[in-house]
Amino acid sequence: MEVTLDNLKEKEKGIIRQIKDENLALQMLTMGFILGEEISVERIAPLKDPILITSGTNYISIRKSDAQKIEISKIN
Amino acid sequence: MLLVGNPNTGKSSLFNALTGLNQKVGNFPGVTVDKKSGSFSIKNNKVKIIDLPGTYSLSANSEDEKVTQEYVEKATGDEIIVVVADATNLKRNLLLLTQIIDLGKKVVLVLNMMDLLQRNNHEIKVQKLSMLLGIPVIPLNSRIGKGIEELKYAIANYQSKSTKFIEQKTSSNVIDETMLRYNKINQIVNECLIVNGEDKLAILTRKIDNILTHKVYGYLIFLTLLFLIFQAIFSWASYPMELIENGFLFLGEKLGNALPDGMLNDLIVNGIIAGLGGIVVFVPQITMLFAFIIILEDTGYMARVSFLMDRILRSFGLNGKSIIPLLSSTACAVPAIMGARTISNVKERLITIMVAPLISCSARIPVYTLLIALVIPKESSWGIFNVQGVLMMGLYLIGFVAALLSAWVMKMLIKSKEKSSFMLEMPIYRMPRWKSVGIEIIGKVKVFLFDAGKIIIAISIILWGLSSYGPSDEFEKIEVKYANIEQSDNSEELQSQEASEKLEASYAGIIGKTIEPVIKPLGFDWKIGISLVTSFAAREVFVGTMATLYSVGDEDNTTTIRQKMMQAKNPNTGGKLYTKATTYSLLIFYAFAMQCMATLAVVYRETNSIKWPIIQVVYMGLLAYFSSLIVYTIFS
Ligand SMILES: Nc1nc2c(ncn2[C@@H]2O[C@H](COP(=O)(O)OP(=O)(O)OP(=O)(O)O)[C@@H](O)[C@H]2O)c(=O)[nH]1
Ligand SMILES: [Mg+2]
Repeated sequence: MEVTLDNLKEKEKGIIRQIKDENLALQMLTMGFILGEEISVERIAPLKDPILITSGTNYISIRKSDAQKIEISKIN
Repeated sequence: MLLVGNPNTGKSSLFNALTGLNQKVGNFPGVTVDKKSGSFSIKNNKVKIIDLPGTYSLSANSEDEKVTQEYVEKATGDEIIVVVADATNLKRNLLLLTQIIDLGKKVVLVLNMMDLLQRNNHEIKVQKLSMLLGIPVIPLNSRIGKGIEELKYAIANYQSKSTKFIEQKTSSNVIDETMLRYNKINQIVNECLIVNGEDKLAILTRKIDNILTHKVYGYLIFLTLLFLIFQAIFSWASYPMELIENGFLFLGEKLGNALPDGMLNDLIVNGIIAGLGGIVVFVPQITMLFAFIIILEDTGYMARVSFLMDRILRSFGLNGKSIIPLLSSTACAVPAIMGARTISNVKERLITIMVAPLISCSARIPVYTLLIALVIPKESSWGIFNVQGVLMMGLYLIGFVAALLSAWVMKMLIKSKEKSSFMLEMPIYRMPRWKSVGIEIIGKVKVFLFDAGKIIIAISIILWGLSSYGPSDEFEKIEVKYANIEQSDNSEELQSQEASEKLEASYAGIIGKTIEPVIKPLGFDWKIGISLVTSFAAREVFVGTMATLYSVGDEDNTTTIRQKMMQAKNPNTGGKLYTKATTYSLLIFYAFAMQCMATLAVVYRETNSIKWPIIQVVYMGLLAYFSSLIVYTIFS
């Protein structure tokens, strides 16, 4: 199912498909979040913002506004 | 030789291991925000080495990353770039490496944190990696310095096949280029990294985070931690403090008796010894404060606090990353303001810099402690809480709230369209290295003592001069007047009366008297006025100034500054000078006013304009003045 990253609940996973914002895409890439790889949501702060996400050995925080630009396909 | 790499990979640890220096190390990304050079020797040859801020790529965002980018691009043929990679996160770390290789620079790859890789039971085929990349690869553990000799050897005998990592950039799009790099890196990592089982360290970290970043417990734990730190600083530290206080009193008394009477005696005993004693006494508290902050920084908890606070801080025009400078401002605003470089949004960084000095720093501790003791007896308590401690905590809280509110006002005033984000890497939790924690604390306490000490001695001498001399005819008149009376009555009281009249007529007195009308509404007299002037250099000077001003007439040096101030009388009412109203008003003044040259200098440097430090002095000054006015009016 194609959704944006902010729709995942804690501990849910997906595959990174596309990042609309070019700067964000580049920043995510350099921090180890690569298109086509698995991404999961570890923790959602109160008010759903920010969130902690992981991909492989990378583990970072990101704001909801950025998460909304990251398109993923959800894995069940 | 340059040390480059992703943030938090151990570059500064390696720098320290090589040079023997004590560059700051900590477990969160962005500890190093500026270049730092040192040197070491390989077989009698001196090698210059520069530690740089960490960066994820050569397309930099924030001020600290730009420094690194510049150094890498300018690196000449003689400079070797040592890329320090976290061996437990190979793939991402190799990205930056391949970018640097393609710039045609001389590169050595250091695989740091080999101990952690081994603990995870993973393995890297080093030789194969070196062959595939065409550069020397050195496995290393910079915490204990294992692998340093091999690194030195590789540098002394540098050779590489200078090949490009990816062929001539086929597309101009950076994203495609980066994906191309990752594809190739993936192949290499698949060949060189042997993964046996799960990543134990990451799993442990997630488990700890389940509690520490929890929606409810996360915040509770953070608040409890802050409260514990306060309890520790303001109750446990009181025992060693009393010892030191009595020690200095003893020293002052002995010296006072040994030296010949007169002005010089006054200067040494009452100005310098009392002033220094007034600072040294706070070493236990400041040591504890530094220790707590360093431990929080070393474990990896700071990044979590940033995560917890981002949403709240954002509404005030700040960023989650601002919490690291703000918390470390409780120790000292100077390094904290430099630490704001990691905030890439210009407006958020500026606001962080502007409000950080409102957070009560360690230099306020001496002032707060002295003043609180004037109006609240040590023993008084509310239930289990010591009232002095609660008041102290209240002052810190007020500073924090004032910082947030000022930030909010600035958010409204400063216009910016720049996008703001909060992408922060969460490092794995680590045990602090106690030895280096100890070294760092000692270093910081030394700076506190010596920097403060120098200013205190300098100001004591100037102040002594200013308060011992005055426009000559005034002084003579007083001398003549008392000489006449003294013939009949030579009591101690009279002598002290003469001295205090002289002080009033001295240059220092004239300065104090000049500003007295302005500060009178706040409940301050001209003596406090003098100390406000001297405190502009640094807040700690307050204690020394008070010591000098109130020493007048005390010939035996048997009372502490606190006792002298408690006995001080208001000449108009005849009552105590330091009433609740005056003392609270003074406390608030010191909480808010911008009285620190070092901070102003660093704000000037970091903002690159004289405008911001001036605005800072003015807004904090106005805030201090009117808050004190309100407090004084309420309590009197
Ligand atoms: N286990 C282990 N920890 C290490 C090693 N090297 C560094 N560390 C720890 O990793 C953390 C980061 O170290 P730093 O030296 O501050 O890293 P840095 O690369 O200078 O970080 P920035 O300046 O933020 O880019 C600290 O907690 C170090 O104690 C190592 O070889 N093994
Ligand atoms: Mg560093």
